[in-house]
Amino acid sequence: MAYFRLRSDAEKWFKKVDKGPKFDIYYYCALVGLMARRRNEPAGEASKDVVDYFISDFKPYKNLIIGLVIIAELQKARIDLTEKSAVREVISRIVAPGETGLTDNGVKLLNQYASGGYDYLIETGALKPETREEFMLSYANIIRDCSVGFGFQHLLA
Amino acid sequence: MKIELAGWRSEGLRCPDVDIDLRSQSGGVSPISLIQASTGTGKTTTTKLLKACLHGRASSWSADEVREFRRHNDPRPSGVFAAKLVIDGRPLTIEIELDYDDGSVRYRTTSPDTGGMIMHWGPPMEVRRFLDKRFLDLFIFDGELAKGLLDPEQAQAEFAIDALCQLYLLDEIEQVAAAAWDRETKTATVTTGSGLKKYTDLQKAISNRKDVLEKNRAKAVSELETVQADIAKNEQRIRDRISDDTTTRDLHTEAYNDKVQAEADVEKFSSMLAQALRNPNALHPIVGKSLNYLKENLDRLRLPENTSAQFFEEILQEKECICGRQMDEESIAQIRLRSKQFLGEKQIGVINEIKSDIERYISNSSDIDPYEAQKGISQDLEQSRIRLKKASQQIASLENQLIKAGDDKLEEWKKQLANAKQRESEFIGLIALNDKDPEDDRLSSRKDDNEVLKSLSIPLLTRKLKEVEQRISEITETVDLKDRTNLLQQILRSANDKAQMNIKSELLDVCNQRLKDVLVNDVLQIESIDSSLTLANQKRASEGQTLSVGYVFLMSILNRGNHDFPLVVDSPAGKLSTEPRAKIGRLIPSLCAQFVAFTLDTERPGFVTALEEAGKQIKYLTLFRKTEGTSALLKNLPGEGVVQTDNSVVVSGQKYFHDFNYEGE
Repeated sequence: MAYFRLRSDAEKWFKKVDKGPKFDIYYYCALVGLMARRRNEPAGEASKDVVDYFISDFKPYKNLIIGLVIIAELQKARIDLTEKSAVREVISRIVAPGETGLTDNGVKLLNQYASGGYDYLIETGALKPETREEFMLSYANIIRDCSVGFGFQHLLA
Repeated sequence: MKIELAGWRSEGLRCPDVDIDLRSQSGGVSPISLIQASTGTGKTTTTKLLKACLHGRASSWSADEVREFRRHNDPRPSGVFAAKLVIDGRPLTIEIELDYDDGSVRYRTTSPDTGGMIMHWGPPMEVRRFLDKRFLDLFIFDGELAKGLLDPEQAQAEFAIDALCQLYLLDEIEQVAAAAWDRETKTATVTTGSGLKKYTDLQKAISNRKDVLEKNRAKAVSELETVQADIAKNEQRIRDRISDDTTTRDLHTEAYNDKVQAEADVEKFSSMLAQALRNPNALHPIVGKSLNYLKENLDRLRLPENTSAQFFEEILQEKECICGRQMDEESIAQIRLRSKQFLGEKQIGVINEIKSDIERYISNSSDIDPYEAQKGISQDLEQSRIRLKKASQQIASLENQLIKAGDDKLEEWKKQLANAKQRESEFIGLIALNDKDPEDDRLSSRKDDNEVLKSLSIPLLTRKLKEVEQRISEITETVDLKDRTNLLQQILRSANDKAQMNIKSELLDVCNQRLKDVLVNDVLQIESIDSSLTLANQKRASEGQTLSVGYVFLMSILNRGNHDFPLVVDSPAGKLSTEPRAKIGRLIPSLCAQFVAFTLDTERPGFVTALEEAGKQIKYLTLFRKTEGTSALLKNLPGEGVVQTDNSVVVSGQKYFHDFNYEGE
């Protein structure tokens, strides 16, 4: 069973935000990575296991997060939603029965998006948060900025 | 257990076609049966086939071995031999059919305990132990076994004691104990005392660490209370001082109330925003719209399909396709290849869940738009933070106003308050570290021991301590089980050794006493019984002496054991001189439950007459082949008790038995 893993430098950066569960921080990074379609294998960065399931606060939204992984992967592979077998192939690499609802490969992808998301935060000059409130208030703006080009933008028109 | 040989039947084999019935007229198996058969009547073949029926291993014979049982010039394509047994009063027939064409052997077993006839070797389980080949050699006796008893390499004597006195049961208990130990400790990684010590040391270290942290925490809590009392006192003093001053009173009261309210609001909206952000749909409108679009398109693509990969895998097991076509190799290959294009059943379930959640949280949601709600909470939080900041600034400004006006006391209290708040923050931080409960049990259990011993978290240490205590309890049970298993095994081995020793000693006395009686004119004695028998004062024995020793030993142990077996012997007295054959003849009826002997007419004097003296019921059978040489015998058969087949004659009765003289005829 694969674990959700958080880069140690990301954990350090969020030190003052670490008031709630550690999975919150993983999620903040992963969502930025997904919306920005940025994922990478954390090169040379130490990572720590967080959990191998979606904690109770996230259980209701687990399938929405998996849906976002599917969308991001389809977009990255430039697969149109009319290409049935290609869509099926992407889905079969990502979803699986189990506590995460993800294949080991799917968990690995989400870990890569969390790593890419943290890189995005640093590269765009986000300031190291001093309080949890401060970060949360800025998070919606970060998401707004990084989601340009995510998903099916024509729907916003 | 009582095993009796009730007879046998042979057809189409080298031995003559016969149906030998060893039962007496009363229906029970006769305690003594003598089958008088001259040389060439297939006695060796009969005993070999009898053993083959019982040990069940003839299926492994080579085709040449099988064909050796075919009689020269006999056109029949197969031969059949059936051994008829009675096990504790219940019939059991084991039959072998030798197919000379393909050189194979087939078994059939008939028993009420196994539900009638079965087409393989299948005696009841409890009987099988006694049908082992080595065991059969003990009671289907020949001169070779007698030699084996004196051969240290064959260890036949020890095997006979072990088998007939049921000492194997001690071995079986040992095996059961070993199997139970293996089963119980299959998943155990620590099974020794030293492994246990490692865990008790760890328990002690964690317990000490936890004690220290709890004491420190208690001290911090006590000091925090003192500090908070100081804070409250100084805050009250400052508030009173500002309230006493008419120029600042109203403004301070208002600012103080604003601050308290703003602090509570920041806490409330902060918590609400944290929860709101966990819903991806609350982060940006594109999230919900894109997820909804994904779902609609999956519906349009009919993904997941109603058919799973498993469906096609199941079709592959059928002879016909669902369309009715025969499944040929090409169809199977194509279906197998294309089935991989379908999702698995469980994956289909997960995708349907994803679609269903998109519908529940996005498409059909009648609640307030989560994104709009998040924006509202963010604004409330932002405003609360601004109010808090303003109120705090207003209070600080009023305080500074008085300090500037020369209020030294107020300045001192403010400094004390700042110090106290600094200390309060330190104590709260320390207590929080002590109280922090790692959110994930599974994660905490994965931390290594050194990491745990450095932790400041009392809940983590408490949980780890519980885990270690549970582990110690399991290991203690395992170690205890191992000690008990070892003890049981030692007892069993010791019991086996003592039983062997006592039985051997007892048998030695009994055998030597009987040998003195059997071999009156001989000084042959057994010196010791170990794996084999060792003779006293001589290394070798004549064939007759060996046979005497073999009989005496085997009958003594058969008599001593807990089971009854038939003793089947070919030419029991042939190699014995006159004196011992009479003695053994007298001994046999008293020592074994059933005695079946193939005798020669030359064995009648001395041996048969001695058997008769015992007074037990004897079944007399005389068997000869139909040949040119025996044609004269056919003319003088008695009026009753004669059974003839195409190639043999069996005559029942004592008189015919004693009068029969092949050479003479």
